[in-house]
Amino acid sequence: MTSRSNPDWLAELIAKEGDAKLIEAQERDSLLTAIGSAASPEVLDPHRHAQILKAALSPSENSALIDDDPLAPPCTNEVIAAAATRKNIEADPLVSLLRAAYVPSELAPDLARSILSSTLTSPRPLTHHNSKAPSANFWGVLAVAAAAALWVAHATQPRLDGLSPTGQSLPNLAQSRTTRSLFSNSFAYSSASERIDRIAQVRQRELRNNRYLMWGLP
Amino acid sequence: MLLVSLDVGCDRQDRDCTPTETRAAVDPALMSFLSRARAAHHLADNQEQSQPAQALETLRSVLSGPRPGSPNHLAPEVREVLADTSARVADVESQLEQFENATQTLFGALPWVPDASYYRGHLFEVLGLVEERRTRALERQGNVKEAATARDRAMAAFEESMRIQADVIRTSSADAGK
Repeated sequence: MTSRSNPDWLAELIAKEGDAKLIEAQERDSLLTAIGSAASPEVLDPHRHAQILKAALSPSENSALIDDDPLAPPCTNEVIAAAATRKNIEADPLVSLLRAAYVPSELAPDLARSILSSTLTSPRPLTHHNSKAPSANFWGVLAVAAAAALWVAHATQPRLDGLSPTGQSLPNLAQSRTTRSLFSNSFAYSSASERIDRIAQVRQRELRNNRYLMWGLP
Repeated sequence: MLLVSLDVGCDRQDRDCTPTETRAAVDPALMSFLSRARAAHHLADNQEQSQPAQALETLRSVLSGPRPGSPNHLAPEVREVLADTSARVADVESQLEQFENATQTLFGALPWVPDASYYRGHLFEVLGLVEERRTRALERQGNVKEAATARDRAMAAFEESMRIQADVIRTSSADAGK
């Protein structure tokens, strides 16, 4: 039976855990010292503390720190690995699609014309006087489509500066008006705070409804 | 253009719209003003008992703060809230015995609510209270003559308040019966 006062208790403990090899006495002592220091650290001598800090913060004196410094310049292997990664990314078809969607390049005029003509108009023989230019019908259809898109965008876009100052063009918008109808009883039964609460609550609900109407919601 | 806007802006049967008003939709600027005023009143509720001077400054900031719309075309809600806030400001001012400030606050608010309404009647009601408090203060000081004058003003203000509110009640009853 061993106790903690017995310096061999650590070795016996490890032996019980299954490690058949007993710890060397020197190693045991070092381990005990380390555990004791961690449990009850002593105050470092200031000079020794400065030495430790200098050694830790001076990469040139401690080459092991260079590899861990996130701000250090890349080494050769890192540069090679970065180039390979970039090449793989560039070759990914998904990246090409995303780039085309974000920064689309100009279409060749012939390609653009063929796309538009195949989608907007039925195939028809080109006129002899201008066989390469889009027909008048094509431009007419495009103009109508653009005008319709603008009209829809204007009608549904919520105004960034709030609602129309007159509100006359849209029906059923709640109008700014006197608050008398909110107070059927005399002011004697309400405080100023209660009155402003009532006013703000009702107008807040009306503003919300106005917004929904402006957005085209019922 | 003016006639067109009058015809479109105000319904003839609508008592809530004066001939000088053109209606606008309830918008975020109006709500910002109402929200600010509401916050100020609630702040003042918490300050009034222990820090009446601070409550006074809080409420005064509503009167001196930004207002939506142009100065000559304030929305009805804005004018009414300004009038109601002025009444409360005057009430607090008179409690602090700032009687001259209180009467000036009230007279400055009357143009915002020129028609017979709860708000206008309430302004005269508070004016009566202000003059009542002034009467008591003058009596404490031994100034009997000026106290009597203040008492007369208080009675006149209360009578005007009663007249206005009676008009409001009659009008409301007439509308309710339609």
